[in-house]
Amino acid sequence: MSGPGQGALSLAQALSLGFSAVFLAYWCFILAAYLRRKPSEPGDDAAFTWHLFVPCRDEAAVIGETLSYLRRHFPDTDVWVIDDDSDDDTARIVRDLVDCDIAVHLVQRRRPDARTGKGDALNDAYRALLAHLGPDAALDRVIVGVVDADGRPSPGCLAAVAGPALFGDERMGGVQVEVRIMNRVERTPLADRGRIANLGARTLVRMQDVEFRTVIGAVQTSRRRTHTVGMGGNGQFTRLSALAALDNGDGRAWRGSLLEDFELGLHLLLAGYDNAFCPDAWVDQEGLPNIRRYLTQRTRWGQGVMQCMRYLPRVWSSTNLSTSGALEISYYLFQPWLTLLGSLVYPLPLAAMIIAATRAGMTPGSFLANGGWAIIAMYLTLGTAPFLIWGPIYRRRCEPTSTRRAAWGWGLAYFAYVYTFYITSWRAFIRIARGQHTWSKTQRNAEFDASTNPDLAISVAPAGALLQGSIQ
Amino acid sequence: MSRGETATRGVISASLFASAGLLVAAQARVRQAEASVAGAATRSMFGVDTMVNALRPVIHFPVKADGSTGPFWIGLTVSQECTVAWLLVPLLVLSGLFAFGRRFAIRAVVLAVFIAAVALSVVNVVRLVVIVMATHLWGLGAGYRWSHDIYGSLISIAGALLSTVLFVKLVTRLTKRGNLVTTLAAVHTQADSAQGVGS
Repeated sequence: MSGPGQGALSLAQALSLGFSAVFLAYWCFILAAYLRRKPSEPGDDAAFTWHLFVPCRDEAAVIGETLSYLRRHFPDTDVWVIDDDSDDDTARIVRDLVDCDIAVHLVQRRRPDARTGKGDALNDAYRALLAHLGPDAALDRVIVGVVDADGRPSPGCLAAVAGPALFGDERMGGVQVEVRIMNRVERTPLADRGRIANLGARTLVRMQDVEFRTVIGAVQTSRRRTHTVGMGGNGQFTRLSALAALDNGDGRAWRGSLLEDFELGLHLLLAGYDNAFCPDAWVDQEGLPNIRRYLTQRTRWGQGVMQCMRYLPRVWSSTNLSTSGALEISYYLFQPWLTLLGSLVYPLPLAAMIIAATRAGMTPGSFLANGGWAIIAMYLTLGTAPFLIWGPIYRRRCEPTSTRRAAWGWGLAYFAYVYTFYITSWRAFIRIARGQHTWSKTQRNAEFDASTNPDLAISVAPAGALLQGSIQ
Repeated sequence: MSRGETATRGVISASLFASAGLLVAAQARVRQAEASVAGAATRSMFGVDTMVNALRPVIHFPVKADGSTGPFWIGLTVSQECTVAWLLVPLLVLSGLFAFGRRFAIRAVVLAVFIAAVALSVVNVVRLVVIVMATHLWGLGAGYRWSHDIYGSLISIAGALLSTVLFVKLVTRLTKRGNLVTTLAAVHTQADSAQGVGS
């Protein structure tokens, strides 16, 4: 190869090396932050009033139990269920509770104004809350939490986020708690399928727990240093005065991207508030055992990040963000694009090496015998180690009773798991190229089981009625 | 941002982009220079008799032979894949973008890119020296293959990592936050005045 072809290959190699170096530097940064983190001091949750928003669309399978949990563990909070014009019994289940419980509220949305995105649903609840509180409320002492319809905030969660370094600090606009996967120990997440399918399904569920509690936890912890902590869709807490500062008078604190949670966090930072991550409290949510639903969810997330690229100029011109903060946010926003570019660039040097070895008359056997094994071993080590290491770290920090073998198995599985980002990034890109910006709501496991296996619908339907039975 | 600063940033940014383009166009000369420096470094540090071809980026040096016929000479070519030139291109392009935006102090960008580029270049010369020395001592089989394919790659990754960290640390730390806020506030005031918003 010579001329432009050789130059292109060399540039691909250089980019590949550059991306790897940036990734390794970032990896060292987040790993150090994660390993050094210390518990934060809890605060007095009675110093604030708390309102939990629970957006719902066809959540009859889970909403009853969730409300039961929230009323039991957080009796002093108000719960606002936003029904996004569900086709199932969601609204009826909630309405029955509203009749007898003054702290449960139903925000009913109707098509064509419903099903326009989670952000719009949250904004409806936000406006309802403001109307409920009246004009004289001290908004800086009101905290709004967002919990998924299957979410289970940890008991003591409110005291943790009320800590002096969190909402105890008046500059704090938002606090995100850790996310855990509640069905991580379920052996047969696909009840009607065989052993192999269930092995894959429970590994996929476990990987989501590994991801949330180690990698995402590490990224969020490191962001305390750059003051760029991001908000998530579940376990998100925001000071009402901060939301009010964002709404520009139009009653829309959440904006319209597919990643409305990250977008909210970004708006808070741009408005001069700080965000924090609280690993001492958590919210349990369902992990997805089905690869198709998982890919759909992650494609939406990837597309949301791509959409948020429009904030890049504001990030770079903001006086409220430090330079390292602007760099960190930019790196995050570029992630899906770098994944796309990497999927094109990374294979080129490998392909060139294979072509060169073939032209030199080498067979796979002779290549390995002539030191090729060492090259493969080195690249495998460098390529897998940054992902593999999260398995043992996860065991040490999150599942100390599990075996070492399981820890390394999780590490290996996590290495394979991250390759799904190539699929979801391309799918997100294709959706953007086609102008598809609709919201694909992730089905709950019980909902999915019922839709794919009618026999299970019998066991799902009473889930919402569970609470009704208990209060009648 | 004043007109003068805009012009300065434009010039520096354009210079950095031009440098990237120049590196692509003149990468053969860069390779020639790298071969010369690596050859000279090997000779002065380890006393190995090296020669560099004046027309090609090739370092000639003796390889210790196993037999009694004495050492034989070989030439190590600094190929396009081996040169630092292509590694510097993304760094210069990124610096060009940083220099044009008002977020970074110009001197911070210039100093950071200079130090990061020097670090990358030095590490690449070290890598070439390691390959020459390993090949000189242990021959083409064990020496060249291991030093080029394994240790050389590790050195490259370490160099790129070092350069990345240096660049980010320098460009962020040397950009004074106070200066930044003052600059941005001035820009906003100018913009407001231009729109008649200012008092």
